[in-house]
Amino acid sequence: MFKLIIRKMIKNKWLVLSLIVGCLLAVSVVGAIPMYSDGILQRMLIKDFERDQEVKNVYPAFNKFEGIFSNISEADKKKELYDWYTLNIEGWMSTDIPMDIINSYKTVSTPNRLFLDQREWAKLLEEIEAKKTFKSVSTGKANTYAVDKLPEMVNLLQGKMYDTGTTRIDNDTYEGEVYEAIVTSDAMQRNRYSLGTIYTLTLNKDEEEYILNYKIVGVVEIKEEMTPFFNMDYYGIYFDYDTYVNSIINERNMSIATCDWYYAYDYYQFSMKDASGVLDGLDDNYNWINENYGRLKQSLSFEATITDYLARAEKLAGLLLLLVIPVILMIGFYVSMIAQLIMEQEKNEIAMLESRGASRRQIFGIYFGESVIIGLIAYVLGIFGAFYMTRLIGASNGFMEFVNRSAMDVNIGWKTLVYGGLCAILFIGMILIPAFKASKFTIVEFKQGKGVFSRKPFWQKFYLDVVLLVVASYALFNYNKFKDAISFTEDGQVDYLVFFAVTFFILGVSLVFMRIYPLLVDGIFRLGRRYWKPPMYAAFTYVARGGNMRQFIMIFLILALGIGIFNANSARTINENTTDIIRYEKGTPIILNIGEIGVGDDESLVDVSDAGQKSEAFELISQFEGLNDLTKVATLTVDVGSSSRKSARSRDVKLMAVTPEEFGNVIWYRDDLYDTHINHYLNLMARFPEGIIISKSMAETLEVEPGDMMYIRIDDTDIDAVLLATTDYWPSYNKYANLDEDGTGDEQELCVMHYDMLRASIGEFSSSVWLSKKEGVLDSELNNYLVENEISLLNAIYTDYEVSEMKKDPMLHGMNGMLTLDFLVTMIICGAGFIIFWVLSIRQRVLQFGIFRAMGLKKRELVSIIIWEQILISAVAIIMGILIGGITSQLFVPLFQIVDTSTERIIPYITAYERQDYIRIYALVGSMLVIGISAITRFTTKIKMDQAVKLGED
Amino acid sequence: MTIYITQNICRDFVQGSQTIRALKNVNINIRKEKLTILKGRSGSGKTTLMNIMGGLDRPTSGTVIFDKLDITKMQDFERDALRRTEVGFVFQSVALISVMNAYENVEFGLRVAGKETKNWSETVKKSLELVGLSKRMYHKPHQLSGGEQQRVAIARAIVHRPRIVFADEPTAELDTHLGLQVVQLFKQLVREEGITVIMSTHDPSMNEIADHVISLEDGEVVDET
Repeated sequence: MFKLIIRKMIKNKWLVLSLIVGCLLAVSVVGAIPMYSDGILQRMLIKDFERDQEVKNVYPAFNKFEGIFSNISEADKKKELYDWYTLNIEGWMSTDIPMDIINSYKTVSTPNRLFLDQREWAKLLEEIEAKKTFKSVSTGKANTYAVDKLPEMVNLLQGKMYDTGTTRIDNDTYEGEVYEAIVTSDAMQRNRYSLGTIYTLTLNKDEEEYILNYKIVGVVEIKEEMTPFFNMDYYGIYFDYDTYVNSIINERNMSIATCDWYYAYDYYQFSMKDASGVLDGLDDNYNWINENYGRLKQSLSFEATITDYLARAEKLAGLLLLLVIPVILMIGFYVSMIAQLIMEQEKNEIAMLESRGASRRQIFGIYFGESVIIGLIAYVLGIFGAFYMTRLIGASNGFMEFVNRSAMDVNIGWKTLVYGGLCAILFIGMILIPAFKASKFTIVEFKQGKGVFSRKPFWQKFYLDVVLLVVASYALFNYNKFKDAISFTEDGQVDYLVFFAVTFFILGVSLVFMRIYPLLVDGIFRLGRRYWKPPMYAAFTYVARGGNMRQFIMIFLILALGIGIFNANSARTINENTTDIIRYEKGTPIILNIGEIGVGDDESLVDVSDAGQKSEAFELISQFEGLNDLTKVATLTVDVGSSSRKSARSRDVKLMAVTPEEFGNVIWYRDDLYDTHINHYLNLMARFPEGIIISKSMAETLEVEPGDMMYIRIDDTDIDAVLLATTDYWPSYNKYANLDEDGTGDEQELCVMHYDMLRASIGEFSSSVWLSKKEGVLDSELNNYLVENEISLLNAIYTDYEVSEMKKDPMLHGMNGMLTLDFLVTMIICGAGFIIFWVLSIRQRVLQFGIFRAMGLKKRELVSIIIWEQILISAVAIIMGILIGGITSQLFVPLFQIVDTSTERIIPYITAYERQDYIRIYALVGSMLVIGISAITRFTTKIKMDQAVKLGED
Repeated sequence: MTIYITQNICRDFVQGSQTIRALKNVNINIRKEKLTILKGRSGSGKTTLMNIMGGLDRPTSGTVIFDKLDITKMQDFERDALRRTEVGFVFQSVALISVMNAYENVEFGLRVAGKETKNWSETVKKSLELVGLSKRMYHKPHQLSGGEQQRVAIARAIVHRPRIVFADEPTAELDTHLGLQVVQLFKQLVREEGITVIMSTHDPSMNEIADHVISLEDGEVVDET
């Protein structure tokens, strides 16, 4: 049987190959989802770690165990616990977290001690004897520590490193054993230690055994590279670890105050697929601690981060899965189409097998075997495919844009294997559907096959098309209804479920269309029956009554184009709007705040540059070659009121002072935001420098209209101004800037005035420099110029950088990557499906075409049939696809505004169309048609009539 | 009256490195308005001969004169025109267009022939009537029996009033009874419509109905009655 299957597959190798390619693409795309979401989050997580380390100078990936011994009174018990915990922590708990340890140490300390020069000790004893009091003696306090790896973590500044054990001292001042210790230079200074001097530590004067004599032998500082990992008590005294534990804690029975075990993990080796392992290991540890006295506190510095990232990975995978559904649907259509074509090709063989006594179950078994083999091949190759697809998504930078980004760390994890496996099983099922259907017919019915064709497809019988359309319309209606209700949701993300509704909608519309279209064609056919030339007669009847296969390719094309166009439009829209919001919020490509940071009188950081330095810097900046224009913009918070009604006043209004002529050259704006072109506002202000422009909402509150007199109160100065115009938007003005997270609070109002007016009224004030570059000038060029000319800045905002950072957001990046992938896969499948379908549909009709020729139809007319069929099937489907894609975009793309709460709707959404996308689609479709038609035409004209006719004989 | 004269027709087929000679110097005359049967086992060259006479294929050598015209010297378009107007074909495998009903199949044949559009429907119906199918003319091919399908094919072949009808094993897939009916129909066409029918068969029982029987064996004419 296996041989039979293989033989059968080889016979139909091209179709089988097409099937494998289809399944392979599906497995790859689906398998790429977890791979990508893990990969990108891993990259982000590592970046987060890096940033954390940079900002805080603390190594961000560590696990710290702390003994909680404070409420244990007996020192023995503490010691016992300490040993037990050390054994377990070092034995397995530290390695229970599946990450590489790059650094570790343990610290132990005993309680605060009084210390004093040993020479004073004798004196002290005498004093205590005399006064019976301890407190009057001037002493210092110090902690003692032992860190096992201290010698490796510090540099010696003075003296030497401590030795193990005690040293015997025998001179005129001291006689006996001393411990050697090291301290930091801070401790040296504060406690006025001197190297070589012997000191005495004591907890309690009465207990001789708690007296510790030690000698400072060295001064150390932490090695630069160890600072992220290790922190010293700058006033502490450090002893050799083994000596400390063996002699001081064990023999002399000093009580442990604190103890901890520190492990730093290599976060560069971290992989998202280990994340759950890390959490599991952590849980193991927690459980063990609970069962073992619970006197250990474990803190993994990134436990919360990992939990958070795991949730994000899940969410991201959910989004990507949602985005991939249409493509899987498409590939599903493709695969079932080809499977059906294979069945068609093998009709005779099935008949032959049945006539030789094969049961239908056996025949189904053969197909089952075949599809399992195809599924397996596709699965194995698809997993590798997923790897490359992931890299492709990773390299995308916006929709259909790619960058040469450093390769993402991509791992084939179990999730990829599972996702891909489920997908492969799904497709094995899809391949089997035609075989299953066929197995229900007797061979006679099947050979008549044409009858099977013209039966109604299941979706028409059950009105699935209508159902889909109703569901999608309901979703659309619902989203629109809640348009105003939805304002802020907690997670502030685009509701990607819209994509789901869209798939339903497109599928529904195309199926409804496919219900109507044959009737329409038949109607036209009947109407013009008398006038149709033979080619059109043949083409019309073929299209109107051709049945399933014709519908397949049409639905297929409509879906591919419709979804392709919608995806392109939605990706564009989401990207453009997200970008627009950033550009609008910044207002201009680059903002520089000139000044120099220094320490002010009250030790806080302030700008220490003077006006002269600032104007010098401004002059220098204005000489930058790549500059388009620059202007000064001052932003203050003021009160604004109506002159006629003094009580009408808005507080905390954002005042922007601009120079209209220059301002117009540096700002970013979108025409739809303003009632008239923004330059009209600026021209007005240029003409009436004493005028102001205010936000519409404030004008309403204050009941003022253009032409009314108003005043601006800055501190105690009132500036009179005339209201020139009102607007809802202004570069960098965000009405919602002051709102709380939950959307409550007062809206920010705006007042724009002329820069010179402000200067004339209040004199000195600080302002930032807004500037725009010439086309093609890079931010880095400006930055280099600033550095070269030693222009110091308080801060700088590069809008393009912000935009590119935004694009790295995993959700946005993932959406773009996935949509790009969808688009590419859709187009590949679409092209392949188109050509396969047509070549086979023509090949199946060789006999028919031969008969047409025998009947005297000219070659030209034969080609004409093909062209008419192409027009009625492919061209109509393509036009419908583009039309449906367009309509769907019109209906659904604006929904992203409603559901995209992350932007807080600072500026209204606009639907973005990129001509490039359409050009791509048209180019692809065009070349598909040209290749298809020319291949078919070549094939048709080469049909040898006599042979074609003969074909029918065997 | 002779309508076809073939002179020394040879037809070679190249199959791989082998050349198969399907027809060897065939010289026959076909009488006008008679039913001629080409007889022979499969592989004897019947179909090849008919394809050449019908203008579907060209001989490797030799000439075919149809009504004083040498069709072997014709251009493709001339032969297309010849087939369209003068010739009708009935094939062994019925070869109806599955998406068209009986009426449309016949109508399509008429349309390909490019005949006058006047009384179109009548012509089609008359043709179907002639083959006795006027009651089932709106049925699709798969709703018809084998014999009925063959009769639709015949109606299609004669609807444009050709002078000759070629029928390649039209009875092969029919039982004897239905086969005889078909041949009777041809006889009727010859008699009533004045059409020349050339039909191939390997069934000897048809011989007596024919006006003229030509036997072929291995590409050669072995007998003529």
